[in-house]
Amino acid sequence: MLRVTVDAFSGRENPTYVLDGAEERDLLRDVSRRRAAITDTTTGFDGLGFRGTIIESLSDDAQEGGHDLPDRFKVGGGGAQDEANALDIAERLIRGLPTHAPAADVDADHNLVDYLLGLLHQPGGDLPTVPDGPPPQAQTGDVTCRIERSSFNPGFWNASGVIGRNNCYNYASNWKTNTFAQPGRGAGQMYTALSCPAVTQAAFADGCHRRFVCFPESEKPRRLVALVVAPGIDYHWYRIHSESEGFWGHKPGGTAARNVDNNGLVITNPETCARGPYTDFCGYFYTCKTQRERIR
Amino acid sequence: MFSGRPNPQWDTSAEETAQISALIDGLPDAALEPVTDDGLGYRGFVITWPDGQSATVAGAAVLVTPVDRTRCGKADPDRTMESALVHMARKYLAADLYEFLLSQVGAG
Repeated sequence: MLRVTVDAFSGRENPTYVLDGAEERDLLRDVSRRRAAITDTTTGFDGLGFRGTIIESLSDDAQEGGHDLPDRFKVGGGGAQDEANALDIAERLIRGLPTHAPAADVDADHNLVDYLLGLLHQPGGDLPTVPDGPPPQAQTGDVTCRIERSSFNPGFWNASGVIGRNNCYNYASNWKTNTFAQPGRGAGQMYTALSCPAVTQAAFADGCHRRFVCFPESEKPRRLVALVVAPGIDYHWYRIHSESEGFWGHKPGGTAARNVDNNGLVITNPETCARGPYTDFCGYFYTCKTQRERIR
Repeated sequence: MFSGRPNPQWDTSAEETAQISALIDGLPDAALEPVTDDGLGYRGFVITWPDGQSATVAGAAVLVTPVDRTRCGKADPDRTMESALVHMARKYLAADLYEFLLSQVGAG
């Protein structure tokens, strides 16, 4: 007997069902033929959203068909050598929910399946994609870009071993490098002055775009960030959080991540919030998948 | 005092180290109050000794963390410790950064 668990929820229990007999043999045969699609259960995406389908034996009996697969493994959560087949298998398992999951255990209706299939094919977990723009002063030809906004999670950044080794650029990029990341350093084009144009150019070298120069879906997660400069002294970044929260977060150097400005007020506008010596507002930008993986 | 760049840091001379230790030892103990984290801009000085002892100085608040990690507060209402550290910083910081530090400490 096999238990199939769709690992996708945070609050409610994950949907699960059991396969045996011919269905068990059929699934194991399918997976064994596409073995590069599986990973151990600790590999792959581990945040909010679809984390994979977990398949586990419920007994220590030899597997039907002698396929020599692990007793417990994951499919479709990312990190497999063959992600295309992993997604295909995961989709099959999700589509099996309505016919296998007891109604008392899970609301396995078509909406749930559609929801889970939507998560499955959404890179980067369940970050909602929202339109950004055009600005109020839009001109003909201005565009609306799609961006991803995530919830404020300061605990991630304020943990011991993380807080002192990651700065505002790490926070804006939502990417922990433990290197106090510097704009342009990963691209070999670090800024050579502390000015809006110089730091902007360095961020462009990492892969940032100016706001309303859209990134494609393949670059999710795409974040809206803002850059400010203390002329000749330093720079600082902010990142917008979820629509329901409606504020911006930031991390002043090696100090705690926060969503308030120097006056202790929640930041709803980085252009007007209290920024101490960071008097120059350089503009809004997008970070993206390629950029965050490049920063050092 | 920075957000994006790494904070400036330097090694003090033996004479400066002795001066810092004497200043701290001369401060009366006080209630343990967290050193204020002011966000963007100057936030204070962090002093570390080779043996692991450390102290944080921000305005009138001085927090000493000895090797045994039993932290204690010191009262420095005249900000003598901070003034001494700002004075020492002059020879270690570039002129523009020193001016920035002065403006920030004054603003605090």
